[in-house]
Amino acid sequence: MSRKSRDRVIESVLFVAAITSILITVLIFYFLIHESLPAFRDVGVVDLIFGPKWHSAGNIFGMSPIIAGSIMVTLLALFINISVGVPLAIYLAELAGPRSRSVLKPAIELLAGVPSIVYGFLGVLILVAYLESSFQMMTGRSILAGSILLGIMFIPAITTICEDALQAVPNEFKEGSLALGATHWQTVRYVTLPAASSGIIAAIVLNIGNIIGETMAALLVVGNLPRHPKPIFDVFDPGAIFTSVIAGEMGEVPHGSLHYHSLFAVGLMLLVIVTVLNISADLIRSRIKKKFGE
Amino acid sequence: MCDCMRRDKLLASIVLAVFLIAAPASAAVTLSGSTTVMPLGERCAEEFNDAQSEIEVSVTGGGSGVGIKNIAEGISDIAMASRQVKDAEKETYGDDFVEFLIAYDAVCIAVSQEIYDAGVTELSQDDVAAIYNGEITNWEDVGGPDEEIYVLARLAGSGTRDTFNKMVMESDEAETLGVRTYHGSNAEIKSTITGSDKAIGYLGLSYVHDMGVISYEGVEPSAETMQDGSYPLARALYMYTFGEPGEDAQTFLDFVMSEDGQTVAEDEGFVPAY
Repeated sequence: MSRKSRDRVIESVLFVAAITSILITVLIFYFLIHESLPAFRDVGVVDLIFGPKWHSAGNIFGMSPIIAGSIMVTLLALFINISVGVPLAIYLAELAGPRSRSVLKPAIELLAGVPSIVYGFLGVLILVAYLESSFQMMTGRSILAGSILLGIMFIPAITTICEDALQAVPNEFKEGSLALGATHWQTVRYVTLPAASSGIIAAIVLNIGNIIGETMAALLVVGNLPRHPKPIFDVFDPGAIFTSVIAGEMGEVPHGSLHYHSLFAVGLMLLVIVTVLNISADLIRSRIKKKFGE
Repeated sequence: MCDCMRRDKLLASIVLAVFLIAAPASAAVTLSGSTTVMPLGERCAEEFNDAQSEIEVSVTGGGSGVGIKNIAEGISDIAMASRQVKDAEKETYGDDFVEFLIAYDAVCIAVSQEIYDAGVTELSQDDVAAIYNGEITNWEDVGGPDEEIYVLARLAGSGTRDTFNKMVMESDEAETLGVRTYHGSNAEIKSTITGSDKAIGYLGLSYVHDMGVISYEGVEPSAETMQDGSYPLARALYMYTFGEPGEDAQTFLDFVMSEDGQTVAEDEGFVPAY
């Protein structure tokens, strides 16, 4: 075989590998849309997405309790996530000396490697029991428990990306600030953080996707009650989220039934939300790149 | 990269599961379906495979719905099911399902040990229905301590749940507004009841340990009361084939329904059907 044609063969093999990922994404979208169409047709788009009740055994499919539960879990988890993850990233990028870095970095990576089912175990055995006894709750399985667990779970994810964003701030910026007589903290607060802000925002957006898509740990602690809490913002009540509904009900559902198609509709909603979040994170990222001419 | 993986984990595992279940069957007999029946299917397959070498039986779970879909699409030979085939499934796949009754399972109503010790040892159908409807919310109303009732149930689609709702709530579409949390398995219900001091839940007979088992309508659930028919909350467990079973599948089904197979069922905490 001539060198040229060998080159061509290798090129085409690599090309096929490259488009496979796109193809899989397209197929997943096609499959989810195809399987959820009957649900949208039979229940109606508005009723299916905004209906007040999800009672699958009685063939009543309204996603609003699931959407509300997901939003509450995600927001609260994100709050916990940001309030630990971002300061941790600032410490790592700006303050930590080589010795504390050499301990902290591997520790965070280790935390990222803990399987979600292990978090689920700890959630059920420790967190749920703790919430029960400290808040006098009938059951600790609640939106709050899910939020705390997911918030902690994704600290490594947010810390890693934030730290990269902070590291990407050119040293000249900081040196200029320090040369003008600003203190270390003033430099971080008024120079480094604003310069890295779009990266940090991208990290947060990506993490919303992580949190909303996590299944195993959440399934064990949120209570899986697809009903609006009373009052609606009561995080001490059990709730249901996209993933817990799908994972909990998919195994036994009669294939081809309205229930089956409705679960695919829930999956499609989740995929659309996560995709929108990822695309917006990418847009924000490309904006930083432009800003600093990477 | 890591983010994409996490994001698509659910989808990826579904795709993977499809591939795994779709693995081609050689001369083997494949079973899939209900996780309730699975321990029985697995033990039977083990003994069956040990006893002869011509037919190799392999077992996967997935849930009753998955098992029924798999036989209809020719992906596996036998479905394990903790419920009968539903009309929706007959509409989708056609009515060629052949049913084999393999054992019985009791749905027991159980309460936290503290509640049992405080005197709640027996409940009528009306009591249980009122608790699950949310009409009774305090243990005091059924002779227990002054504590709120923590009501547990299984997620939609569970065969145990269908049996309970059909027989106690008198409709498998009952909304059970009293339920506080829904759970994915018998084991989860068990650990939640034992972990609480005011819970009530329902679960399979083989799972009730370290908790108060309620006499329902005056009858305590046991192998004896189920066999003589006096315990009402019994349900049948099935295996299905799509069309008449092939020779190999029939041989295995015969084994499950034979004396040896039924002894296995008894060992696994079920009640023999034959």
